[in-house]
Amino acid sequence: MQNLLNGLFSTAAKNIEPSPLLELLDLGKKPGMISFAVGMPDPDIFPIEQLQKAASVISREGRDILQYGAAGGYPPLKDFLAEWTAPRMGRKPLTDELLITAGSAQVIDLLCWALLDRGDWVICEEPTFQGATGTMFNHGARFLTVPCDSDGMKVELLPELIEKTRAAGGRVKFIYTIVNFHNPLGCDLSLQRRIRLLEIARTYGIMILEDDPYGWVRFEGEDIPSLSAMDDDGLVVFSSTFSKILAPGTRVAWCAGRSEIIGKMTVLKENTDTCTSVVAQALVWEYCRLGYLDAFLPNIIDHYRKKRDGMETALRKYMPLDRVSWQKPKGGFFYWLNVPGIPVEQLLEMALEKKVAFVPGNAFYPTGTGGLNNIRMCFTFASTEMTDLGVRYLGEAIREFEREPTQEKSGDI
Amino acid sequence: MDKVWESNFSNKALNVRPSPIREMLSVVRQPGMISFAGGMPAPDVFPVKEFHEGTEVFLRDGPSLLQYGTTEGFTPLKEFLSEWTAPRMGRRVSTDEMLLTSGSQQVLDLMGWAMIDPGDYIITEDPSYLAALTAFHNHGSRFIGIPTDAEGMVVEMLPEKIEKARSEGKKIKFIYTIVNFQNPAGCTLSLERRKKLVEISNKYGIPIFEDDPYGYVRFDGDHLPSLFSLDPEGGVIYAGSFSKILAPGTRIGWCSGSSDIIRKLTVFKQATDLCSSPISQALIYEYCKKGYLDGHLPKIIADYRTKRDAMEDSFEKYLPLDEVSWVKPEGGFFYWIDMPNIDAEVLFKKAIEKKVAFVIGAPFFANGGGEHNARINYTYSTPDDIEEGVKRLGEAMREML
Repeated sequence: MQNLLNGLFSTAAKNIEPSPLLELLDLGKKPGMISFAVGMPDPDIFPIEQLQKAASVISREGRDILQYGAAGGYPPLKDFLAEWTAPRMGRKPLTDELLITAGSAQVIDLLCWALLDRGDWVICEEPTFQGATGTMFNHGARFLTVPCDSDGMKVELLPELIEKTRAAGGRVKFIYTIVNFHNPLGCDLSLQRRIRLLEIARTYGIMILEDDPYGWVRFEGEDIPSLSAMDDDGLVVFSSTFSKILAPGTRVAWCAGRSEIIGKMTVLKENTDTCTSVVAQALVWEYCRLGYLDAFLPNIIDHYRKKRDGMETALRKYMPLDRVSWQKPKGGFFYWLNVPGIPVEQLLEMALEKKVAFVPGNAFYPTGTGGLNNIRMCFTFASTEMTDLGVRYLGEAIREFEREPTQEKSGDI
Repeated sequence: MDKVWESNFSNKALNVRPSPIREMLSVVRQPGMISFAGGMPAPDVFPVKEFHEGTEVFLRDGPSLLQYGTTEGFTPLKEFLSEWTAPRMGRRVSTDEMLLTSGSQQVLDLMGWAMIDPGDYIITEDPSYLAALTAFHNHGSRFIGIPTDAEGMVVEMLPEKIEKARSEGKKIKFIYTIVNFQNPAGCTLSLERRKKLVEISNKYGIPIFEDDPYGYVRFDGDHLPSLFSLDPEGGVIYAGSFSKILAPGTRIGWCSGSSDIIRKLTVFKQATDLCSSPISQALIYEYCKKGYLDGHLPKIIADYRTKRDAMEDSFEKYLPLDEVSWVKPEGGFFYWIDMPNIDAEVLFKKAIEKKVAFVIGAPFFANGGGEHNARINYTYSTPDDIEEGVKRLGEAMREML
């Protein structure tokens, strides 16, 4: 029966393989490993006591929150989010413009359900978050990739890409962009490019998925207006999550957009998991209602700013600065190092021997080409001491590679 | 830009419809309405205090519970379930043979991902669980419906149906069956038919998806062996849920099967929601660990048995007995009424006027049928409301005859 079962798998099941990245992430969780690989929050900064206090909501509202919930989300939490996100959204989203999801991975799954037929095209940054493109791939997406520089996606390349694809009969469905503190690049999409991106989306009638898991974790500088706030045409679906501003174990995220698309996504959500854990949503709501979200978020930001500074200091201290370059992120979770001339797979093997883990850049290229001289370093998870030690090992490992006679030009980051 | 979203919708999005049951909710919520429409537990049976007790786990294990969890599920809960489900499964399944999911609805979606290419066929009971049909349909499946009687799916019809379908070049991917207290038909697959079904599955090389959300909510009679336990070949995937034995708001279900299908489902789960809420999973584990699952379940069963009995008595008392028939369910949530001379849609409109709601039969049929059927839920209303609601329903029926 087992062999037979294999014969019955769907095409998607035959194509899907657990990402090698996952093994690396598991490795990163092993005791004794200094992990710059996982993109995880630091458990030291979880507001455990506050959440414990919020747990009284279970005895108070138990009859409601132990019951099936609305597919669109727990109404009090939606009301709170409408208010809380208003500054970033440019206005208060209406209740039918908001959908609460089981983590922001689900936003991608649901948007794909709503928009993609097999063979449709998605435009995304390259490199980009591999979890997102993996889900899109399962839904049959093909990718048009756009390189990035320190101002994010080079949006001026889009019109030609779109026109060429359309001329060949391809349907371009949406543009996926991580606007703030990009994963893995760490950069922001500049204001000018945001405005231009919206213009392009309008001209061509293409939707935008504005993924913003890190936007509220800004260490310095001013917030840049969201695409959503500047979108007069209802083309943008905005997505964010409690994973980084509270804790990922809640598995509560949300998206906001025009009621047409949110309505479709809500029905599709009902078909995939009925509704998000009402228990988890109610806990998150009570935490927010008691004021902990606003009160505690500065602690989280401070904590990660210190860690970012710790990594910056360590990088400057231990890296051969003529061979390694980076842009200091103003928020979020990641550094993206350019290590021209260094074979990063080999570097990873050496690093793992010293119990240091990172992710090779290639993992973030949906077309599988590129990132061969890049590595992603998460600075939020390891302690400052371990960061110092880990970066020292990594610097030593890099120095072991012989300098190539002529250095490659680093080009696009 | 007005139609910009609509013009970009996928075919799935264009075809998908909200569940007619959800659609009815606004009607059902009218003041004074007695609703037999939903499939919800009664909030009175929720063990609120016992469940809340578990929240002390935050202080003890906060750092790990608030972190991303593994896609496979919270290990202590899996170990508990492996032990707790062993009598039904015939053995303790190992951790790589089990996946914890975001409700058992997610198992349906994941099975769609793993098994269905557009145009493939699924064999289902006629009628079957609406949200299962929709979930599979979204993945592009078509359906071969097998009638049910008081003993569940008429499995004797399978060989002919399978052979005919295959001769027409149809690719059958699995047999979907709700073995105990079927939704909506209320029937239970008999032991003899279970054995026969496993035989057929093995003979034709078609796996079985055994959906069992209600199995632990049995009022009378003995538990029957699961298909999983009857099949030595690993061709059965079994799905269970905490929705009916604890509370649906936790959104935790599970499935057990051979490690190769579980592995595939896990990879797809990773791509759809990464992991189920570790908080929900840990709270359930605490509840189970302290013995509340076993301690409280008899109370849930007793409450629903009382309600089932109230409904049976009310049926006998108020319905036109020569015009309607039903199978008394030995567990679960639903009655399924056959009423050959009554159009269910007309009855529904009359019933709503009289402030009682139910679900018409038609949506539960993948390929048409059910025009003379009604699904009636008895777990949500109080016994008094059950009597009053059935009385109103009986009046509506008589007006039509």
